Amino acid sequence: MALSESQPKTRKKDWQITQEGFDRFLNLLNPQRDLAAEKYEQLRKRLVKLFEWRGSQTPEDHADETFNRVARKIVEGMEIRDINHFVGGVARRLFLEIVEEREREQKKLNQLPEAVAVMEIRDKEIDPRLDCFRSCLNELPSPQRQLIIDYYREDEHKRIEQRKLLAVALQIPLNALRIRAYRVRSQLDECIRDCLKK
Amino acid sequence: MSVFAIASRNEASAFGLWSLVFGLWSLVFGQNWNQFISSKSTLTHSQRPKAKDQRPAHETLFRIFPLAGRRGVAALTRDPYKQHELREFLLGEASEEQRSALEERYLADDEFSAELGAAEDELIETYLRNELSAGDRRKFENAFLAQPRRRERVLMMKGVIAAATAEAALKPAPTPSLWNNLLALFRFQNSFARYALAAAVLVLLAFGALFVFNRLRRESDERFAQQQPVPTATVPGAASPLASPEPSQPAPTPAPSVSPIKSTAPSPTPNAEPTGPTFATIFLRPSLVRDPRAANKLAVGPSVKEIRLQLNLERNDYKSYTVRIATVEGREVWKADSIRARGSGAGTFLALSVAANRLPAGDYLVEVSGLSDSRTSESVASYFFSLNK
Repeated sequence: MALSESQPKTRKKDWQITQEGFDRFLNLLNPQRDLAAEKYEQLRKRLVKLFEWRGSQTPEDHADETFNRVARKIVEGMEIRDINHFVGGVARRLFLEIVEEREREQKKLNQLPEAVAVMEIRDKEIDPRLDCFRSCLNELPSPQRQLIIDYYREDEHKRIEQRKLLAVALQIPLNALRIRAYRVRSQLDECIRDCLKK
Repeated sequence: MSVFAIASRNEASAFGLWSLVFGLWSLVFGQNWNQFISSKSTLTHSQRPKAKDQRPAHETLFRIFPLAGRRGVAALTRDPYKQHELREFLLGEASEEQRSALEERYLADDEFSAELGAAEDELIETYLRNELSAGDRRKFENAFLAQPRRRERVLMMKGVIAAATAEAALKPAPTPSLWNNLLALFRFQNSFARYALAAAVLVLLAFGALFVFNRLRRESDERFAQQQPVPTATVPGAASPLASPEPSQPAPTPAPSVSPIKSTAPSPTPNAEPTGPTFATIFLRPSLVRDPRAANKLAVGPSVKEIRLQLNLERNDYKSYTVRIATVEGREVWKADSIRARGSGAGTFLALSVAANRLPAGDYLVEVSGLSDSRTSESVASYFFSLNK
């Protein structure tokens, strides 16, 4: 759980998460170890996205640093009633530190405008990945695979109508279809990432 | 039909009508509100109304239909966070306060987490399909394409769309079955419309049940009325005039043979009157032959006080009829006029009630004549029957 170079310095930067701190943190998430591990992974994913939304360039590192800080507070004896609420608070505080750090660095660079590397998405970036996309799609159970195909198929102006028909065919409201498609798509993401690593 | 039944039927009609209107109203407008709300959510940021016009759709609805009920209409939106608020958050435009509130909920609420994730997917998809306004596109690119992970997410979505489109090319687009289409007519995105439809269906069922109940009761009344003595006409020499019967519902087809029907419970009297049925009924069809052997026979006991005749007419061509009963020798024993036919078509018949003591045992000829519009009497049919006592 090392922080990136751009990571702001914490007041107790040498503090490392201990087994005791980690166990107590997991226990707060759920007394059952398996469920706690599941909850931990879920919370970490959400923290990563949260830092992403905040504009962090290294959201995974910031998510881990948030957990470190939470574990440290637990070891220090802080009483935590709502762990989700507490984690959110720590993450926001960390984000403020990141912003302050960024501002300090900006000043050092003679107030150069922040480099925003907006890169166009090119088809050639997609093409090599298509094999992974298609193989992962084919690994999905048939109903989910079909859902993704029917939901995301490129059909110009008919997309909204197509999705309404799909909701009717599945006998679920349109909003439930959106959520279902999102969940399957997230599942697909994990498979594609694994595939791309190979 | 009793006054109560009429009143209930009118109330039921009004209530049923109201429910139908309400159901249809929900059917039509419930869908439109959904469309309205979802179309609002697909507006680009620059197209969206600002300031006070940003009032949620259901709030506008309350102003138009104050009786709609907050609970029902709140179900239309399901979530206090509207799609455009989620989009503002994802594009980095939310205030710090809104952002913190959303983030906290995102961490703690699984359902909301999925909702926000789906909103992000939609935003990325909208970008990839070139459906964002120029302003939103710029914001999107600054927010998403400048960060490796978010950029990766955009790449992922593009890959999913490409893969889905490639796979879809191998098979035709899904078309819902006829049954699903029918079901879709009654499926709503909001529970408000669902409840309204359910209420309308329930009221329709209740209304239908009331209708069937009334019809059954009317038929039952009809049958009961046929069992009762039927006042018919004046009898020559008789002291008491009788009212003519009112037209009524079709009766069962008269039987071709004599079938004396016993009356309901005979009432024993203290002065030792004979026990047994107090009336007898005979169904007669028109006869062209004066043959006493073929005559319909009716045997009555001493307890019978009243003889009822049902004369089949086969059709009803006259406003009223005159019935004359005479012996085969031609002596008139009973006569009544201004009798109206009952039933219709082949089931048309005249119902008569004659005091038993007017008809001694013997053979009788029944002659029926009709009174035309020009007030002339025309012979309609003749009947024979033989009475045994």
